[in-house]
Amino acid sequence: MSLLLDYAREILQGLGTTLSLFVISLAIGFVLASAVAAFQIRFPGIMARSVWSLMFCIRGVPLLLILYVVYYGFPLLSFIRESFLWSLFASPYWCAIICLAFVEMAFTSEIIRGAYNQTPKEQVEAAKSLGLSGFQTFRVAILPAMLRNGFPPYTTEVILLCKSTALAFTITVMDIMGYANEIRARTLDIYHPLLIAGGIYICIVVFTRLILSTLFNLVAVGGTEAEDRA
Amino acid sequence: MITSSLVPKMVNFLIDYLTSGWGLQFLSAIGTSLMVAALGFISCIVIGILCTLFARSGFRGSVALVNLYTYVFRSLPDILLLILIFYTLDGAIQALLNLVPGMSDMRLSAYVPAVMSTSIVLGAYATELFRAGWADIPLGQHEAGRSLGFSPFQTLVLIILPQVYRKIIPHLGSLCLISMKETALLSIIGIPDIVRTASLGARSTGSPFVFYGIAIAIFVTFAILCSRIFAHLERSARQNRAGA
Amino acid sequence: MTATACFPMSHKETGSMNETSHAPAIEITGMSKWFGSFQVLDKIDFAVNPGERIVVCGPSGSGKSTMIRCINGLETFQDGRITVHGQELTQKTRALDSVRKSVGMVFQQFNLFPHLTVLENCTLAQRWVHKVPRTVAEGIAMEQLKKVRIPEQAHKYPRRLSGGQQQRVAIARSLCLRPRVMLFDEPTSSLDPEMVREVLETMADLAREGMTIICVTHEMGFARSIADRIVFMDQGRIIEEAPPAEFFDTPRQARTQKFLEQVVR
Repeated sequence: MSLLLDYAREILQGLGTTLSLFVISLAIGFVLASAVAAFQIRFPGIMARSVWSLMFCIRGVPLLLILYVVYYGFPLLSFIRESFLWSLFASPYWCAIICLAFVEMAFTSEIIRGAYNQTPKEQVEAAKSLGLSGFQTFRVAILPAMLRNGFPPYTTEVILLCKSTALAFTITVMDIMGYANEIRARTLDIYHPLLIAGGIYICIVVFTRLILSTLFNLVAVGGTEAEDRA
Repeated sequence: MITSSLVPKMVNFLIDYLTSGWGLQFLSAIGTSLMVAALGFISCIVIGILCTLFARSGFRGSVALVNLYTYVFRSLPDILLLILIFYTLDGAIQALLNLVPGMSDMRLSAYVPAVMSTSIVLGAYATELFRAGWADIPLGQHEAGRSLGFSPFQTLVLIILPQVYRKIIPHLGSLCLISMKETALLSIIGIPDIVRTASLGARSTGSPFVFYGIAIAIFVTFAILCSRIFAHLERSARQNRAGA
Repeated sequence: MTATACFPMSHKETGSMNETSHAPAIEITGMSKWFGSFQVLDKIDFAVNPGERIVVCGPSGSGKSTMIRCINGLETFQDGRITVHGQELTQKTRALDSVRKSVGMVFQQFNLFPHLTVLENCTLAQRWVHKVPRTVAEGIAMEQLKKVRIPEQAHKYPRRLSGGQQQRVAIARSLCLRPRVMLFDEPTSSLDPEMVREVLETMADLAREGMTIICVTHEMGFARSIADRIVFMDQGRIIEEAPPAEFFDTPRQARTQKFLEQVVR
């Protein structure tokens, strides 16, 4: 029992790393995804299609491979080694964040695009007919509908990202999985460290779901309020 | 800058390819990954169908059990589950083999637990998919099947599954892609898949971009093929439904 | 209701056709059914002779649909017994299967298989349940589709058909299995008004041929012209059972009178 507590204490050292990997890459990924989706919506045609194809390709490649390319491959490029980027790519932690955010961008941009395309045309027309400007139309008619349509798939995506952070240990980041794996390698005990890590991940996911559903309720209500105010 | 360093590396790689046999390595790695992905995809669909049937069977606690399976497996990192299940199954299979006299010194290929663990992890996704698709089929379809005298199994295969299939084709496409991407994780366990071969090659030849590039190209090709195939399947199903 | 005029036939005329067979086609004795603690059917006693046409009516929630679903084994019951052509209906699969082979059922929501063409809908059960060869099954199916007057739709998918056409396909699909009894569970209730008549006409054709029919419906005109007997149910009980003329003109029970006042205006 005390052994398990020792394991747990050791593995919990990685909690901060896992959480910060998760939150930072989620934030960066969302900003990038919004930009990518906005670009695709704003410039339809060949440009949007090529961006979409690029995102499609990123979605097809395993995160593990992207991690390897960035962590083992990029340091070999002279323009990275000899510039300020080096301080970024020398750190496995930041490599992991960059990769996670990159993949998150590819998945989230598609969710945002899908949510935008689902927006009922009548609502946009109604808002325009009231004489609202482009941004006002977006804020009043499009955004609330997008939030409502996009939130459920985005929740799934956020959980997937949380799970993906566990791959960071493959490039020597010491997150929860990293510590669990180290104990596993040291003691040849597979079950205890991994089960403890699993318990921690489940807690994180349960909390994340809780936060997201609270947020969704706030946003869904807030969205209608915004419409009322307008 | 990138291209200038890549071109000589490409040339080097081609020379290496002819001399050191990385080409063959990659071919066998593609075979491994495709095989594991295909077996994983098929068996996770079987798991999905079985779990859906079990959840709808009305046994006490069956719904809770299936919910627990999908919730836990969709909350835990795939790599953690893979390692856990892989070593558990590996040990269990070996223990079983040891029970059979004369088989104790036989080593079972690591592919068996590898495929099984991939299937169990992907099965959670498939289960959610099939349960959602199933819920859309009106009760009347089951009743019509029963009243026409079909056995429960015939009702399932002839009436229910074809309709569920038509509803979930696009999701099956992404499940297929996930199956392929999931094989990458097996490289951590030591299965010589595409990613493992690429990183071994990258480390031993010192030209990571060539090897990783090839690996990425393989995955992208697979993703494109996958989306083409499933778009085609969806189109033909829709034409079917629209009628002549 | 003006529908009476649409079905000019006397039930007495064809009713005598099957009088030679004495065993009832369907016999229900003391059947009770509960959903939890709520009793849906209360000691139903009821028999149908071969060739008889029965219309079951009553307010919603009276248990009439549940009763005919029990005859087909779609619902279980807790007490009493049902015999179909001398065979007792139990929850054993084999008994259920053989009963279902002689009992056809048509649903309110048609329940056609959307992934199959009209012809495939009609041949699927023949081929898989009765092991009829494909060409023979298609011949039978086309014959039945001609009977319901939509052979030209055979290669379309159900979605392309109107509600009335779909319901007629559903009738043909049941008839392909050569049932001895047909059960109709509110066959016209989810149809647009202009399509009700084509379905009722199809059912009248069937009645004219001497098919044993039990039909749950609110179409009182149809009931008056087709039925040999009308069964009125309320709160899980059979309240009144009478030939149409007697049922409509001199109902004995107060509840029947009240119901008729509401339905026939």
